Amino acid sequence: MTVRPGDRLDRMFRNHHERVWRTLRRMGLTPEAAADATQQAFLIAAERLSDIRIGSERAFLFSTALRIARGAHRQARRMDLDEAMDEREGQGSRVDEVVDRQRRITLAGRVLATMEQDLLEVFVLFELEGLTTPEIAELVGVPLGTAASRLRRAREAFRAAAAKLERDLRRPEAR
Amino acid sequence: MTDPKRLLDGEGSEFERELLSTLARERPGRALSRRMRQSLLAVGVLTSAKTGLAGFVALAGVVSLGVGGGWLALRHPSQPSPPAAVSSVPAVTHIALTEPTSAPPAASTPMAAESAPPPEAPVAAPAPRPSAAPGSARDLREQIAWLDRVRVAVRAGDGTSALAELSQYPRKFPRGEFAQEVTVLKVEALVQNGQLAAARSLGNKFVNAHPESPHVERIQRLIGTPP
Repeated sequence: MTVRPGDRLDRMFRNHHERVWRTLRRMGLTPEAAADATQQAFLIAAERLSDIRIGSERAFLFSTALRIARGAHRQARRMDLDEAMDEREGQGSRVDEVVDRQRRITLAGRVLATMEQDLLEVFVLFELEGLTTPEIAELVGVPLGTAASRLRRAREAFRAAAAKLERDLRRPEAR
Repeated sequence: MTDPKRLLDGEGSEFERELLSTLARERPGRALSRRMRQSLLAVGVLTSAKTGLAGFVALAGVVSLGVGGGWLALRHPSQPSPPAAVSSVPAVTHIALTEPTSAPPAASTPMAAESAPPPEAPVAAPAPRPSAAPGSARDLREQIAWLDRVRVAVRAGDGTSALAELSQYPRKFPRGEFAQEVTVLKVEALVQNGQLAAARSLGNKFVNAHPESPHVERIQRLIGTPP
């Protein structure tokens, strides 16, 4: 059955634009910049639609989004955990009581911002978007062993940064 | 090779899972999703029964739409096709409706600063009455090109001429798709003219009428209202 290009793109947008946007956010783009980059990913998809295999739409969009993110200005990536800690002041002691959803996103995003780009990509695709390492290896363009190794290092980095954040957030409690 | 268990699936600590679930649940929200969809509709990537834009991808001319400080560039059909391989992202089709880091190229349009006529008259030559059907691809192209010319005038400091031209929008495009963008440009032009009270009045009306518009933040910045 032939699918009209417009229908296919509509479906791609409906099914994937939120995930593409979210992945771009996790790469450190602001919400607005992520929206712009998502649009760009779909424009590229439209131009190359005939090259995208049926069933590979998600992989194409993720791959394109990552490439866009690599070249994008990444404000949040320049922030470090110490900056995140500044936000703790005046909040009280327990993170789950004092931070609203947006603050949680900011704090969590800054944990990711401590990770190197190549590790971050693998981590986000595996942990947040549910891709398998073979899928990630193909999408990122690295051997399977490299993808697995990056994932291991990415998880270590994430856990270390998360542990630091948790310690710092709870520090006033201990006093 | 077996994948490890995901941190969100129990492998991580409670705090790690909390962080990750926060990130995994984030959504662009209705306003941003709508903005993305509308922009992609405008360039024909998406289709819509309402606008019937299927096939509009083959856009004629590179135009840029600077609305609310942003710009939208469409690919010229005469440009070489992108390579078939999907391994590289072409440096094309910037589509952004947020603040640009640099001014978009000031095309030599009738509204360029150097050729600004006296304020009484619109700088742009009277546009021919559009014959394109409202909502058609051609109509959208004309609107985008028109808005681009106005934007250039605004950016060149020619607020008066821009305002005169902007007042023609309902007549030129009775069913125009870019009424919000026109208002943003009007506010910007009023600010440039020093008509701050009028800018604030118009800006506040817009914000009250369209509190979820992606242009609210820019309008508030223009009229000096804290978001």
